Amino acid sequence: MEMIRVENLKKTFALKSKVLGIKTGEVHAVNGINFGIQRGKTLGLVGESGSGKSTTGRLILRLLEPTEGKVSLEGRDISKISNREFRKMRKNIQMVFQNPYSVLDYKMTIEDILIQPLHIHKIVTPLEYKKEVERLLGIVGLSKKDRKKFPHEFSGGQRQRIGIARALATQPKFIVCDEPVSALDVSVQSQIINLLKDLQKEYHLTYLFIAHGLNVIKHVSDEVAVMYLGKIVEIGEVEEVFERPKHPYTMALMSASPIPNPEAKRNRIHLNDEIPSALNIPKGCSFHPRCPKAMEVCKEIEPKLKVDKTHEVACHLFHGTEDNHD
Amino acid sequence: MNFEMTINLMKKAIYHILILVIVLAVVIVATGFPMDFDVEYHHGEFHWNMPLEEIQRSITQNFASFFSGEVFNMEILSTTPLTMLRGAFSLSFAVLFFGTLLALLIGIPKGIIDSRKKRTAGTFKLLQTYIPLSIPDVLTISLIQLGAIYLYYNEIAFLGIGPIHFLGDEHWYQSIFPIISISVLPAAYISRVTANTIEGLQEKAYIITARGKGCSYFQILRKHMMKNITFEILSIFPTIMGMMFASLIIVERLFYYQGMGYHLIYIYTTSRLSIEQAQVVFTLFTLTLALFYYLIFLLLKSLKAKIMPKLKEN
Amino acid sequence: MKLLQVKNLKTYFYIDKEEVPAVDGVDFDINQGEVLALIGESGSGKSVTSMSIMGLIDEPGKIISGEILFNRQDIFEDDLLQKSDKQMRFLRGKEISMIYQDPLSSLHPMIKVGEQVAEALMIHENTTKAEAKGKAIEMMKRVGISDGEKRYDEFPGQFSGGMRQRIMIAMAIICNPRLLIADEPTTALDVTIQAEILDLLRRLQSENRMSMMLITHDLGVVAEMADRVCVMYCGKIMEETTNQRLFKNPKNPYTKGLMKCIPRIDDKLEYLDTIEGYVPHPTDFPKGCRFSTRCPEVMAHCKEELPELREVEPGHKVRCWLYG
Repeated sequence: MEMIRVENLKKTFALKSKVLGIKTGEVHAVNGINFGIQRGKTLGLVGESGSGKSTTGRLILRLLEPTEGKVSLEGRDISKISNREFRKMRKNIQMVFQNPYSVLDYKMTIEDILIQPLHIHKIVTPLEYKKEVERLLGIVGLSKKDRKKFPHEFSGGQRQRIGIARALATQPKFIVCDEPVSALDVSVQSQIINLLKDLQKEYHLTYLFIAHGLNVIKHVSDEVAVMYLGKIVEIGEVEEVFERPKHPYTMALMSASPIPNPEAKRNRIHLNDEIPSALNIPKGCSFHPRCPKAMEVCKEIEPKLKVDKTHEVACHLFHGTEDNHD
Repeated sequence: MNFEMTINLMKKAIYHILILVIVLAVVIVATGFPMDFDVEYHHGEFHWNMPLEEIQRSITQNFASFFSGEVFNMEILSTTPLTMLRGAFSLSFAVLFFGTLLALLIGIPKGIIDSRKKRTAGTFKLLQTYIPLSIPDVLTISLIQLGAIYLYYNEIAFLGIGPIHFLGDEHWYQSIFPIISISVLPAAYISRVTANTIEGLQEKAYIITARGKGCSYFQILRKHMMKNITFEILSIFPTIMGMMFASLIIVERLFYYQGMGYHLIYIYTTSRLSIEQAQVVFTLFTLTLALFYYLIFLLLKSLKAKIMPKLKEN
Repeated sequence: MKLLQVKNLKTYFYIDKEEVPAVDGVDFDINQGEVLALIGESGSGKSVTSMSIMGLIDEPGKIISGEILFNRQDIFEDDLLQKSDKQMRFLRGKEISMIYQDPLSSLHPMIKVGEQVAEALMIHENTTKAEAKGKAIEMMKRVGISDGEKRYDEFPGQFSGGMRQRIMIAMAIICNPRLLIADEPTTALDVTIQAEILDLLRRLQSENRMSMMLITHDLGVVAEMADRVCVMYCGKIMEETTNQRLFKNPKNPYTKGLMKCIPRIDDKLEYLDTIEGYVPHPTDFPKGCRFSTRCPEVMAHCKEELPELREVEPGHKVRCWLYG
C-alpha cells in the first residue's frame, strides 16, 4: 500500500530587495518532483546544498506551503485541505530534525517535551502521561530516570534519541528524518541508524530519509532519489542505483565520497564549476554546465523522469528523443 | 523592472511624506490646545475648564494661521516669528551638532578602553558609564553648571578660553558648557554600546581568523570591528537624538542659552505675548523640531542602508 | 626533518570552578612536507590542540604545560609556548597559518574578499597596497577563482560555500607558510565540493612543500590525505602511525571501533557495528583508560591505571594495555 505520494510538488521563494522592497528574483527550491513510498519502506533523498531535499521534507509536513503540486497520505490529499483538517492528520506524519542541540526547548524537562505532543493530539489521558513517557523513553534506549532532566544534561546522541521519542509520541505512520545523524559523532551515528531501523520494523513505520552522505543513505534506504537543483535526477532501488548509477551527477557524487581506505582506487569524476545559484537555474537540463557528458540537446530541452519502473533517470543519454516531445 | 522599481520608490516616498504630514498635523493639534486649558478631577469626575467647542476652535484657528501663512507675517516683540526661529535654531543646532560630535569622541574611545578585559579595573570602568545613565540628567547638568560657576568666580580659564560666564549666549564660547552638558548622557550610552559590540565580536569566527593572520589588537579594531561599531551606533542614533532633544530644554534653560528649547518654555510662560500669538509661535517651534528630527531620521536610515554592503542572496 | 614537535602539551579550561582537561598530555611531530591528520570526535581535543599551537587560547583556557618546538629557518628551534603574543603575531599568518571549518562565519561579511586575502601580506611584508592586491588576485586564481580582478571587490556573501573555502585557503597561504593547520576544512561543504577542496589542498601542499596538520572526524578524508595519523580521544592520543598501517592494522580498540562503525559505501550490512555508550564528559573522565567504559576488549587493569603511549612497532605507537 502506498503511504505517501508526491505529485509535481513545487516551491518557489520570492526574493525581495531590502532597500526598495521589490521582487528581485525567484528561487525555485523544489521544481516539480514526483515519488511514492510504500508502507514500511524507506526512501532516501540525497542531494547537496540547494538541491531542495530539506524543503521537500518540510513541504510534506506542511511546515511550508507548496506553491504547486499535491501530497497524498494513504491516498488522501493532505496538501490542499484546510489547516484545521490537516491538524487532525498531523499526528500521522512527524519529523526528526538535524540538530539535536537546538530542537529541544532547553527550558523544558524531557517529560514536558514528551507530554506536549501527547497532550495536543490527545493520544492518552492525562493520568497515563507518566507511563507513556516512560514507555517512549524505553523504546529509544533511555532510562525512566531521565524524565526529569533537562536537555543540556544529555549528549548529542541522547538528545537525538529524545527527538525520536518525541516524533514517536503521536504514534505516526510516516516520519521524515531530516539529516538525523549529520550533527552527531561518528561512533554515535551508527547507534541512531540502528535504532531507526529497529523502530521501523517494530512499528511498521515509513521513512523519508534525507541526507547528504551517500554511505548513510545506502544503509537505511530501500529506494533512493537523487536531487539536484530542485529536481529528481535519478530514482530507483538502492542497490540498483548504487551499483549501476546512470545519471552523470549520481556518478560524480559517488566518486566524490571519500572512502576510508588509502589503497582504494579513486576515479574521481571532476565537475566543471560550482553549483549554480538556485536563482539562476540553467536552461534545459539544469546539470548541463557541469556535466562531463553534456550534449547539444541538454542545453535546450529538459529531460523527463518516468516513475513507473524500478530505476529511472532524467538524462538525455538514456532517452530517445521521442520521449521528450510529450 | 524599472517601471516596477519607480512605482515602489514612489510608494515609499508617498508613505514617508504621509507619515510626516500626519506627525506635523498631530503636533499642530497638540499645540493647538489653548494655553490656559486645564483639567481637574473632583468627586470621581473630570472637569474641563473650557467647553469642547472652544478647544476645537482653538485647534482650527491654529491650522488656519499656518495654512494662510499668517504666522510668518505676524509681528511679535518687534520681530517676526521666522527671525526668532532662525536665531534660536542656529544656536540649538550648534549645541546639538557639537554635542553629538563630542559624545562620539568621548564615547567610542571610552567603549574601546572598557572592552579590554582587566578584572579589577573592570567594575570601576563600568560604573563610570552606568552612573551618568542612572542619574537624572538635571542633576548632571546642574553639576556641570556648578563647575562652570566655580571656574568663573575663581577666574579660571577653561581650555585657555575665559573665564567663561555660566549664563547667556552672546559669545560663541558660551556654548561650550551647554555642549558638554548635552553630550554626557549620549557619551555614556555610546560607550556602553561600543564596549558591548566589541565584546560580542571577540567571539566571532572571523575575528579569530584575523588573529590567526597575525593582526594586532588595534588592527583588528580598526579594520574588522569599526564597521560593526559604526552600524551599531547608527542603530541607536534615534535614541540618542531623543535623549538630546529632551536634554536640550533643560540645558538651554539652565544656561540661559536662547535656543529652541529655551524659547519653547519662554513662549509658554511669558506674559509679553498674547495667548493667540504665543500659541502660534509655540506650534511653529515645535513643528520645526519635529521636522528636523524626521529629516535626520531619514538621513540615518539611508546611511545605514548604504553601509551594509549589498549581499546577493544565494 | 622535524618541523614541529609537540611535547606533553596540556591545555586545560577552567569553567565554573571545574578543571576541564581538553588536551591532556599530547605528543606528536610533524615532518617537513608531511601531512599529519588528527582524527577524533567531539571532546577529543583536536581543535584545542591546533589553537594551542597558534597561541589562540583565551580565558578560560590556559596552556598549563608542554613545549611546542617550531623549526625556524632550519637553524634553531623555538618553543612557541615561551613566546609572547606579540612574538607569536609575527609567526601567525606568515609561518604558521590556519584555515577553519565554517568559511561563512570565518570571513568578515563586510570587508571585501580581496582585501581579506591580501591582509596577511600587508601585515607581514613590506609591500605597497597595489603590489599586495596583485599578489592576492594571483593567489585567488591559483586556488581556482578565475576572474580574480572582478571578484576582488566582492563580499563573502556573494560566493558559494566551496568558493569561500578557496578564499580562506588563498588567505592562509599567501605568505607561503611552512605549516598549514586545516581545522575540519571540508566538514561544512557538499561532497562534490569537498573532493575539489581536498584535491586543491593536496596540490598546494606539494607545490609549496608545505606541511599540513589536518584535523577531521572523517576517516575517508584521512585515508585520502594523510601521511601519518594521530587518533585522539578525550584529550589524549590513542594511536599514532602511518596512514597505511592505521587502516590495515589498527591496534587500539577505539580505532578499530571507529573503523567498524562507519557506514561504508562499498558494503551493505543489515546492522552497523557500534561503539556502545557515549563520549564521557570532560569533567567526568573514568579512572584509568578513558575508553574503558566503552571498550569491547576492556580488562580489569584498564579501569585502574591509564596506559602510556608506547611504540609497539617501529613507527606505530599505541596507548593500550593490550600491548604490554
